Amino acid sequence: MNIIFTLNHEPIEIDVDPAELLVDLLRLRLGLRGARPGCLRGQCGSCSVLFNGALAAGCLIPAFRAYGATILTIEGLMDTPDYQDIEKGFIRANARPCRFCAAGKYLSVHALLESHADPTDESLQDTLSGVWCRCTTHQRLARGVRYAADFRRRRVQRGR
Amino acid sequence: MADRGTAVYFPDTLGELLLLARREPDALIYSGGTFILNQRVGRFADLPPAVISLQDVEELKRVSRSERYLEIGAALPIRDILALGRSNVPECLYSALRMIGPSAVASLATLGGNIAVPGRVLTSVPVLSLLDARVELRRQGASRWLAVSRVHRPNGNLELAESEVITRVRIPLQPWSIEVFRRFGSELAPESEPLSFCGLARTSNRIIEEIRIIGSAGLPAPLRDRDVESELVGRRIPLAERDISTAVEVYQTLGTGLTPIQRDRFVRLVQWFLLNLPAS
Repeated sequence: MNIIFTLNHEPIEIDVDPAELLVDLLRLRLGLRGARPGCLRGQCGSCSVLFNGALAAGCLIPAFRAYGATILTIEGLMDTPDYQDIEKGFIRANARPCRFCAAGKYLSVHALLESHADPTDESLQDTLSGVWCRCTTHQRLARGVRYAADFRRRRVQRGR
Repeated sequence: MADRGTAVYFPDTLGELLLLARREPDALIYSGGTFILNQRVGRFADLPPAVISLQDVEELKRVSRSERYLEIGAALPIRDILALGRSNVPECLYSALRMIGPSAVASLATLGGNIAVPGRVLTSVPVLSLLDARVELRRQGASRWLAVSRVHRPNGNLELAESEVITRVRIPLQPWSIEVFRRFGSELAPESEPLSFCGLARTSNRIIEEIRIIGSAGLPAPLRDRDVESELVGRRIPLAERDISTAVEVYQTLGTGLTPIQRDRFVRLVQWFLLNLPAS
């Protein structure tokens, strides 16, 4: 079937098998390799994308669901100031994620900060528990997210 | 890319959905799809020749709350239900929904989808049963309400007629003195020996006014005994040891097909719940 959707701010039209996984469509056919297939059961968070603005597991989305959707991958987030804030926050907390889980962590933190400018402990816990990779500790990550929230708030206040 | 011949329909309105469901009675009604995708083998979703996607039907994503009920559209993602907050959703249901999966799953999974899985009772079902929730089932020209506790037949099939679609879930709002939900393992992985437990009680002046206890091992038969619940009503808190052991004896014999670990967990949770009932 032919589907049209918005991928990283650009409209895209592609012929897909409705049963194909979104993570495979992105990686194998569109060359966006930031989302990585991990557990393929929606638990590890390494294939995360933002699907219509919400964090979603790319391995639990069949290609037909992309019809009319807006999808943001780590590649689309990378050039934005939002990404820079998260990056700076992680560096400051010495919590830079490894390459395997980077997409999951950056996108989940981005989704969190979009909905909670000042994240609560519960929302932080929910967000961080969605990415299983233990390349860095929970405490450091939590600190990194708080720094990132702070960087973002200050940038928004400066109007940039 | 050549596909496997699956026709996918995207109705925009409830009317269109019901019409399509009548025209394509064998079609898969696709809501969040997290269970279907989770159970697949290989790198493709296991889809039948026709699929009706609920993603564009806004009528199925509405929420309304009155003094007596909370009504949730069947295709509303779990994430959006959680966003209503603890004060608007019964506490035990809120806890159960948080257990359904990480946020990347909760943004896809829906309440209707969680209820309507043939042969497998997923996390929300025992809690909704205990809360006396009902689902609205609609097909073209007809609608009816069915208790969530009756959606799953003992043989594993769903109590849904041909072309019937779950459109909303109505949850009565009642005050409870204690609402507890616990889950071990996951119903998606039977090898994890899943066990869900939910307990509700209303007490006043150290007297039990109402008590409900349910367990689920992911199988269609729930672990519930209404006789024990009625026996406990009117008893004084703290419960006498004899009352607790009599109740526990009954719960030890409930259900079939449970592993020793599942049964032990359930019985211990019942015991713990009965010991920790609040005075008011």
